[in-house]
Amino acid sequence: MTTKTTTTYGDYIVETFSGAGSISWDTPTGVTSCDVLVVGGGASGEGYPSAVYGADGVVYEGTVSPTGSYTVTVGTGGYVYGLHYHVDGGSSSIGALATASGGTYITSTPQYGLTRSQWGVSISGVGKGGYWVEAPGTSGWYAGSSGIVMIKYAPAVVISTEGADTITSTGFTLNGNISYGTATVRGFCYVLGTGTPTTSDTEVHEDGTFTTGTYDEVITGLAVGTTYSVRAYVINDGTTYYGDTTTVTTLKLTADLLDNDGVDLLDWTNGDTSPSVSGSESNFETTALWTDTQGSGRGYFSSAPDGKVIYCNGVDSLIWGGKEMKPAAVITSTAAVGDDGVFTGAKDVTDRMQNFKTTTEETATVSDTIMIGSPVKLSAVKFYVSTGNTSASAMTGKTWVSDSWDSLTLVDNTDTGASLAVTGWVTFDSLSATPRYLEGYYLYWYQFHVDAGSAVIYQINVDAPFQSIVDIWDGVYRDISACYKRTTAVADNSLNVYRDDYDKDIPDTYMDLSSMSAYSSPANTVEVGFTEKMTGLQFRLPPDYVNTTAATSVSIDYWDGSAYATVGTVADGTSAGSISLAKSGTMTWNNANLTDETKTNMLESAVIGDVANTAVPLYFYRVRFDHAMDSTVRVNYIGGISAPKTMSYYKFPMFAQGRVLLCGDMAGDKNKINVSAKYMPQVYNGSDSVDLYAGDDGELSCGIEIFSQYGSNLYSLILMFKNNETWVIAGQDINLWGQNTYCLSTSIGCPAPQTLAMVNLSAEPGQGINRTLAIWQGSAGIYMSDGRAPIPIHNDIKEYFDMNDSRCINAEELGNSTGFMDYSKQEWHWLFLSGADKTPKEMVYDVKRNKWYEISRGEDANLQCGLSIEDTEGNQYIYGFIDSGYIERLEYGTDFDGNEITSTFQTGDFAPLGLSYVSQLDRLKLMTVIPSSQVLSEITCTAYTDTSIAGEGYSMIPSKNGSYRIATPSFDGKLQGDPYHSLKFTTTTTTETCGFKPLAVVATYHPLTED
Amino acid sequence: MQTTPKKHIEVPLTGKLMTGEPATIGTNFRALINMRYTDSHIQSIAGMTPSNVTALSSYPKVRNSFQFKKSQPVENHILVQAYNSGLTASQILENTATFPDSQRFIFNTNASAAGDDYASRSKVITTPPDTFTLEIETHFAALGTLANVDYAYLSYVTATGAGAWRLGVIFASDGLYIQKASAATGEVGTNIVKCNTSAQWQTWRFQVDKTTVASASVEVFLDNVSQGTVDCDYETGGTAGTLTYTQYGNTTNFMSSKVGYIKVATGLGAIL
Repeated sequence: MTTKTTTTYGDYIVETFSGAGSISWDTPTGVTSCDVLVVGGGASGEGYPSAVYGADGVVYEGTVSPTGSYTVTVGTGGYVYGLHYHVDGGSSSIGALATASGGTYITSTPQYGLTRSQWGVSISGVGKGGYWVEAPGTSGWYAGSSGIVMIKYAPAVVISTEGADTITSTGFTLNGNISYGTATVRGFCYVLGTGTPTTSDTEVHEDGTFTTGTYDEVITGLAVGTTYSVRAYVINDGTTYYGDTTTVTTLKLTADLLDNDGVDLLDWTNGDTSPSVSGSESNFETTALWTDTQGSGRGYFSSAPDGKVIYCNGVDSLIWGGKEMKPAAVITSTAAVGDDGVFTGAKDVTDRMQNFKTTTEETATVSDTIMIGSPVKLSAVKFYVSTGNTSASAMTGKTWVSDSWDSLTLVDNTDTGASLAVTGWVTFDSLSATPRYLEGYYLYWYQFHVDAGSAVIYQINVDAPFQSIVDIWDGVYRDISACYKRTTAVADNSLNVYRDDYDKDIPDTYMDLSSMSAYSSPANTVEVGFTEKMTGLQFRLPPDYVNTTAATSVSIDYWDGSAYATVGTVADGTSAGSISLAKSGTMTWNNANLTDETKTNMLESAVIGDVANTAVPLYFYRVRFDHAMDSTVRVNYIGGISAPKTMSYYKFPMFAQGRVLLCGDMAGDKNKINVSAKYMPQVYNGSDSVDLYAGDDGELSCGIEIFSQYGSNLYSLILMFKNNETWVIAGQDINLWGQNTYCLSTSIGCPAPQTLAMVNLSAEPGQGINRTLAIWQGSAGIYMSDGRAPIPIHNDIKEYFDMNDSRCINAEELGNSTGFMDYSKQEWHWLFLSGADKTPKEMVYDVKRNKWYEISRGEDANLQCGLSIEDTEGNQYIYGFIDSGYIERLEYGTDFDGNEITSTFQTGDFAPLGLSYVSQLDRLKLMTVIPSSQVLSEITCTAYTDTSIAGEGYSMIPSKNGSYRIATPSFDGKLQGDPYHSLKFTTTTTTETCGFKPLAVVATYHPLTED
Repeated sequence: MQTTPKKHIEVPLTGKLMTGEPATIGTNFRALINMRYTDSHIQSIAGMTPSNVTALSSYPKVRNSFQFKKSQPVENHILVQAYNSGLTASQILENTATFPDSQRFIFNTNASAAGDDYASRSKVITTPPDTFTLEIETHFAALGTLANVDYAYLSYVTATGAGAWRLGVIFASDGLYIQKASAATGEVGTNIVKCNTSAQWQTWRFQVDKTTVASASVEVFLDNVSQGTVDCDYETGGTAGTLTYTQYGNTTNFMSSKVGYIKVATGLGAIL
């Protein structure tokens, strides 16, 4: 290896290259002339070294005008002990150099007789002529030498690149040395990879007045494990001088001390305190979201509008919105809201709080009280704070329970000394709450009060646990069915207050309560009847005709079947200055005895008996006042707020056309479908909700929405099933559903609800088969339907439905089969129990090819159910569950969770020459694709003849040859079939994701006898 | 005795499974197990791999499942109805893993904001060498402040006694802190921990030079960008070579963080 030494002598710089090898020398900038001395090395024992003068290219010394790089090749050899330099004319000497290199000055007498071959030295690029060389060495002790090349020049400054240290993965420290001269800039330049960097590339430097000496610069921000070419540079009098180029590679460390994925922490020492949880992210949460009520059945989930999920199990009908969901209403108030529901400076900021926009117009300033309404009971509220409260403060909270505000015990995570200082959750412990009407919303209400300062909030989300669905008023006031003003007589004012069409000059457009006396049983009341139970009444009064009688308060009664009974405390929104009916408003209450409320059409007879009965029974509410009305009181409209309906026990939910369908009322009509209002999964009242019924009272089992196109029309179809009936509900909205409910089949239904799935059929383009279909297991087969009569698809495996076949689906377990779609492969998996011994079976239907195959996952690995899971990018994966408590990613891995994958195919019985011949198979050859890994497992062929159940096995070892794609394992035999042959091929793997791709079987045979 | 020339028959393997009488189905398949169809032949199916590491125990028998997805904010829940072993009682359980990547580890303090409650895992590896690099991928779904001790804490220690030392890293909602002499803390950058509503996966690299423990320093990289070099001369040891990750929730319930991986290498630099 050639090494270089740079030495300064007087005004000269001498660069000495020694040792065998090639050198490359770049003439320093500004150098116009230099002397070159080349001394060849000789092989050991070559003899006496001497000098050569004028020889042709062996050893030279001369002066050149450098214009670029020179390449010198130095031969192998030993070393030089000394050197004598003698310029013709004797004007200079470099003898000291040799001494400085560790050699010994030998002689000034030139020696002659050396040849090129002996020295093994050549030089190019340096012209000839006028050279003479005096070589080193001395008699007796010379043992051969390597070559030396010396280049002498007189530059302005000499800079050298001294390499790098402190190398990390993203940087290093470069070192340079100014060995001669001065500079006003010193630094380094570098480029990625191999090259010759200049100051036009990336560089670092410092300015100043620099003399000789070393310097360094730290280079950072480099790529990991990457090579850079670097060199030092200086600038002197406007001229840039470079050192040599060298390369430095950043580090790439290997994790030699620890390399653990997160899941590996499971094996670390568990230091949790008892309430804490740590575990694989893929594990199930240890705390259940819900514990099914005893006696419930199989649970079914369904998507729902507004980011909700619905769950029914025949007893529980539940709703959940995940960890974080939007509130239904947010209203700020500058003072706490009392029992009367009166706001101070109310601002409804619901829209602003339901998005993550942070612009000024999408935020709200909270300085005292914020009211949050939700259709479900809450356990926490999350405030997203854009400008935090800076005043020392604390938050208190309340929720409406029954007929008063109850305090909540808060954990305020927004509090860093001031509440609402930062974004965070405010959690509370109580799940008791009662919906009430406030500011136009009938919701569960939570109010939070911050006792000092203010904060700007840009988003509010809430958290609610899994909970039973409560029917919430849809926001539309119910029309009255009857309204009577009762004084000493009863006046029917139904039409007067039915519509808000007040005309002061038309008495029929209002109910005149002027001077109505204080309530005196049973007189001086307003009785209103509805078809539903109410929890509030809205009164609208012309502004000029409101009540002014001081201290007038209202009471409301409901009909309990035999008499009026009080609904309890009334929040009187018509009250102003403690005067009821002093303004338009809403009277609401929470009847603790809601179930006692009873319809009647005998109200009048029972009470006073002087008014004709209403045509239909109604829920009546009696409004009475403790003081007489003043002389000018008119009510031009009365509407009702319906009370929450008691939700029944539903078997399964569905989601179709933006609505939740609660299906199969297991405590009532099992053929009933309770349809929610559109986009409101908790509203099952009002004109946008409907109850549907499918046929007789037979129990609904399951349902699914599919889409179809007939002609140019698109349809959403709801397929609804009973055990042996199939129904379709057509129509673009609920007003059409009732009259478009048809029975598709009275013999084919779906007794196994979990087998029902939707298939997006993707057949070849142009065939017109672009529908979605439902697929399911019936009691006598597997069926598909696109909204028309079910089509059986089980003919190839019909034995599983043949009750005389031992493989028939077990009758007791007919309803417990499950199924799921693998959408990426267009395959439907059917899991069921076969035969009397209830053998688990998994059959797979290839929808595209209309073919079945079987999956056998081995012992303790049978799937119980499965689902398709979508990742954040939209990719779909298929998962299944096994009874040992694991969720398994399917179509992923080289074994079945530890069980080997055994692949088998067996042909039917075939007669090569027809049924009249006995044939002999002499040789069998299997054409199979060689796996990419080149690992070919042994294949066993079992040959069955004459339909025997006992076969003869042959091992087939595929030959491996990386040059080919196909292997052709074979064996020779004498398999006599009279006339049938059947061939079964089996292979097993635990190392291949797809280890067996047989293409064809080739059988060589000949006839033995003819019948 | 063979009396006629041999002939050949090719079975193309493009038939289908038919479970009826085998003598009537010809070269279709009377059995086709763990092999699916393609347009030209049949081939083995792939296996299956468990996703959850810890099996469901009290309610292991899942009988129905559902993926519940939300987009604002983004949530993903795998909901299952799981029965007990006797199929006499059932619950709704959830798995919030990000499928299919489910190899991360979660620390959750749950409703335990009291004193010294925490979720923690530790492992004894090699005593920290003079120069080493520790890299960790984290996600802080719910993290509190340094003052409230609602932070996540990462430590790597030498033995107690002479030369005792530790790398102590505090991930808090109000910043990343490195422990230094006398258990004081120095923040690296300004509030560089993404957490809570801003939570995202972050990769931290700590390049430590403790050649002289009294002047040990660490250069902190966040997602491969240097955030600065600070002292880490906290001269307190423990069980030599113990690496510990702890999620505290001393003040606030439900502090939660996840770890994607942890790597430690000798020397300074990025780790492959």
